[in-house]
Amino acid sequence: MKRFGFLALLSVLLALPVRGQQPPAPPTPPAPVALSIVNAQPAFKSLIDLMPGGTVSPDAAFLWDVYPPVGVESVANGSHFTFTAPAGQYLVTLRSIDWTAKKISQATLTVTIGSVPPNPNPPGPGPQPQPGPGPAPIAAAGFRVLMVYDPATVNQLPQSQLDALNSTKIRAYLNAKCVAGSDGKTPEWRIWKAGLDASTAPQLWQDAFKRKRDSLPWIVISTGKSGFEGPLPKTEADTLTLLQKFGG
Amino acid sequence: MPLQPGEFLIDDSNFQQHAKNALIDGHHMFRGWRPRDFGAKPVGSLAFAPAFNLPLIPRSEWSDRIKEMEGTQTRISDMVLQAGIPSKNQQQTNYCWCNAVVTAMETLHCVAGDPYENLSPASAAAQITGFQNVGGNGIDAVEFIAQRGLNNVHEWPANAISRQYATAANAQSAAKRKLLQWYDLNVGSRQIFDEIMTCLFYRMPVPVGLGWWHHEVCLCDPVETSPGQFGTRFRNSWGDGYGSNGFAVLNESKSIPNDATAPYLEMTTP
Repeated sequence: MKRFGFLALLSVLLALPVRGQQPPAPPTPPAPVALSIVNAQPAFKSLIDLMPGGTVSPDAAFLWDVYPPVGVESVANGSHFTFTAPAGQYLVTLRSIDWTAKKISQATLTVTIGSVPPNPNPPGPGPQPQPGPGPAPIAAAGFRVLMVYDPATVNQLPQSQLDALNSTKIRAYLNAKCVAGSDGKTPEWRIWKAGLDASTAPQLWQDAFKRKRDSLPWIVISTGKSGFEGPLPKTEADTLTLLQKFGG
Repeated sequence: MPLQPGEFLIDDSNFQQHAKNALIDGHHMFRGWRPRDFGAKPVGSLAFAPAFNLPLIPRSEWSDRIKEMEGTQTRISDMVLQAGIPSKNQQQTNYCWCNAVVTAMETLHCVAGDPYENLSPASAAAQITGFQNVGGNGIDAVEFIAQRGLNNVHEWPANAISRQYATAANAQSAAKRKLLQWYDLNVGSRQIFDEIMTCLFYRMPVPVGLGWWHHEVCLCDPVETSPGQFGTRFRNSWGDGYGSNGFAVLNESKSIPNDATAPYLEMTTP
């Protein structure tokens, strides 16, 4: 994977605007750094502002996470956190642990590094994407579907998309169309949360779960011969239409 | 509110007739919830269990959201019933507090489309209690399952309180079925019901310990009990003979918990 020379520096002490930095002397001139905050929180000043109450103890310890982790190299130094990563969107999670108060708080924000293609699924009414078939993301024969969403940002999803993720209509369709798993009965579809531990799942699903995702929620559709990978459509109807293009 | 056949509403007018052990299909059903020690385990103090911090969904949106969930059949109960996941049945164990958490875990697997695996509440509860048939609370169950996992009922029968199952092989297998993260809800706060409803709108099941019942159940759906009045649909651990396939409804005041967690991230079914 080509590594972009982008460096994101986040700090709980940093006031707006959050800035990106270029690493010293990159081997080739990088494209302009575009580190932007797309979290919907207004008046964002730092991750601390996203904590419940907007404050943490001065004695608090901090845990940082970046998702997806593929290609990410990071250095955590207390309240300062630096990471480098290929261009894309990343979910940064900060947990503060206040040992005195025995309290753990959490804040998240989405960080965009580099130039990210415009969102093909902007909120609100409008034409939905009409994806064509691509190579099969899952090599095994048969109709399989994986949807992935982020439980930490589930509150940012429109209800219509939440409905799509939890639709019994879509589940009934998938139950009817997907091939059976290794147990001979469980239909081969999964709707997983980013961050879950799939290490005990069949290798096929582990591999599908590890595939690159440009955003969340995300859908992977495979017939074994062709397929689609992209943002999950915004509604149950659009999701079903997309599935039917491959599953019949 | 559209009640399912066999389903009932527990509210301030009738809760006393429910606040006891029950006879379901000829079998006595026990309870067993005991208060959480908030001094030893304050809200948000456990690893991987931050205090609930999602933005609350305002009440002004609840009615419309509930109608949409009902209309599109996208409630947790819809998914669980579609998949044919049976209720847990604690029988004469005092392990409601673990059954409710295991109900939440099985629900998460169902929502994820994972293969159904009948998990054993006793594989955690018996070890937590030192193989005693005594009560407990959900946070202890959640903590144990996060650290050591659960067995399925083939490895450890659902209600077996026996050291014979506490083998190294079962411990190794249980480690494949752990909870990874959960929210610790702010019990005692004025917004606790709003936190519960927000979780349920996001399809996160919420095991709750109910002091008035001395019982723990798993809340699954937000409901509007009458125009502008809200409650929760819960799944009990008294088998499918209770209510409608194990489901019944609590009004808001009876939904207020004495402890509450919302598991949301787990290992996939092995």
